[in-house]
Amino acid sequence: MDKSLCLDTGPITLYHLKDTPREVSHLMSAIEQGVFTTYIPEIILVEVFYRLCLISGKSFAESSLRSFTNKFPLQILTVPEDIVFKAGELKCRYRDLSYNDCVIAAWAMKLHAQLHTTEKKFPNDLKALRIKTYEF
Amino acid sequence: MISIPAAIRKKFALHDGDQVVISEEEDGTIKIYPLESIESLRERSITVAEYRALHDQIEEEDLERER
Repeated sequence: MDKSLCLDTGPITLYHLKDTPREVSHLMSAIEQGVFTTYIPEIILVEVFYRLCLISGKSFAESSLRSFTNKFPLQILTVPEDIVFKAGELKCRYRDLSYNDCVIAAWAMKLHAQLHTTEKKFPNDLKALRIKTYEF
Repeated sequence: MISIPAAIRKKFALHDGDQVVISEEEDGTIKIYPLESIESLRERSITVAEYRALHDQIEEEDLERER
């Protein structure tokens, strides 16, 4: 089993839905128990807030994100220069990816961590990028 | 251990054993935030089917704005 992962917006958002998919619940339980070292770029948390705010408003987003970041053992990542360059290069090559997709992909490749996401647009020609996709 | 006045506990529905986060603000004051359980949060959320519809609606719009 991979011991480190990068967690994208999708699984975090699904975790906060009334009927969270079982696969996501299992992932979150494993993260809570410390099975993985879990990395999240800070900018992804902004996107999570945005999604949760659309779902049920600002107060819901604040409470959810505050509880989430306090409950789970997370490594929050900034965006240093090497990640800026790699993410920018990815955006240049794959314009269908969002900026956040590019940042988290750059981090996942740097950390040799599996990227856990719901996004299906990640290219399969990036050999260094290992992806676990969740359906919903 | 910190004792919170009863009136405050009642106003904010805080109970014994509830988890809180204490945050230091830039002006030197502190704020106490109750941590809500995931079960409680989900009561205010939507279903996967409802989220799928929302997601489909906003995803392409958001990406188009980024281009």
